[in-house]
Amino acid sequence: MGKNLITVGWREWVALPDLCLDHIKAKVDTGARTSCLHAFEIDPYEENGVEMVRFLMHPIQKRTDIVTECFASVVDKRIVSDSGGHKEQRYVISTRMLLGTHNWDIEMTLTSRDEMMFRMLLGRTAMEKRMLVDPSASYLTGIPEGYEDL
Amino acid sequence: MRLTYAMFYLLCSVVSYQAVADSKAVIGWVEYASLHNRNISLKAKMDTGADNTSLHASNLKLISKKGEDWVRFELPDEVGGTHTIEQPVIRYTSIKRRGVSAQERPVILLKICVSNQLREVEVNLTDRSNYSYKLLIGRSYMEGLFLIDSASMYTVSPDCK
Repeated sequence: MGKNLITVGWREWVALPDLCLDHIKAKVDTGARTSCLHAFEIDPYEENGVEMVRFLMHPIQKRTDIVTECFASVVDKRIVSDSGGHKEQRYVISTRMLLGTHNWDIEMTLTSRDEMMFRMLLGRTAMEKRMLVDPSASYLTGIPEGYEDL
Repeated sequence: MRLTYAMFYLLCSVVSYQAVADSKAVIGWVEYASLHNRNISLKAKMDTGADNTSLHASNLKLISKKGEDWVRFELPDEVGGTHTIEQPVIRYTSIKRRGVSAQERPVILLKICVSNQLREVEVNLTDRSNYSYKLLIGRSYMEGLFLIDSASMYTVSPDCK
């Protein structure tokens, strides 16, 4: 185990600047392999021969009145089955994630399921060799100003 | 003088708190866990995304013992054996699931050993035969004991007295 691992809680505020998402609360989930972002109106399109996806999301939990439009290039399409056994085609995007003073590129699937409590799940692939998760802690990398009660 | 003692105690409590904070052991996202006093070892997924602990139960039956709700179920281990377990039901929990209706699960108390840590926790019972891991350990068990490394598996063995 490397010694430069950052310790984070099971909930953290992260930023996804390429998607224009400055503050998004992520559930840090060692039970999930892939990371996942809750999106809706997911529409693929092509730009200069590159497969792109445009989607909307509610960046803040319980605030369906706030909508952000995001654009990302598609790195893969996958068939994913959920805990209820349903299969769904999902787009995989690659994007930069900021967590505390660290940043790196992560891959995320886009899902349109409404039942997701957290707008973002951070899975093992994105965490490997970078962080340890403390199940007793939350927001070890800080809470953005004005977001204390969200 | 009184102030000095107060400061001394304050310092001690800060130091011991630090020791506790630093004593959490780093383990992998899958580890062997044992059910205490039952000689059953299971692969357990250490899931920071789950509040609670969940165990596979086949042929789950609700029975009545001395007027109390009990549960009887079979638990296959990792080496081809099957164990029959009977335990009192302490409550029922309703699990919200994506896309399908909620599910009622009986909850029992079990002493689970991971590494050298023994902790009694509430465990909900469900059919996990479609999943790779028969035991899913949630945050309420791990709190204060472990840090989870998503890059490693099977780093410790259950060893509790």
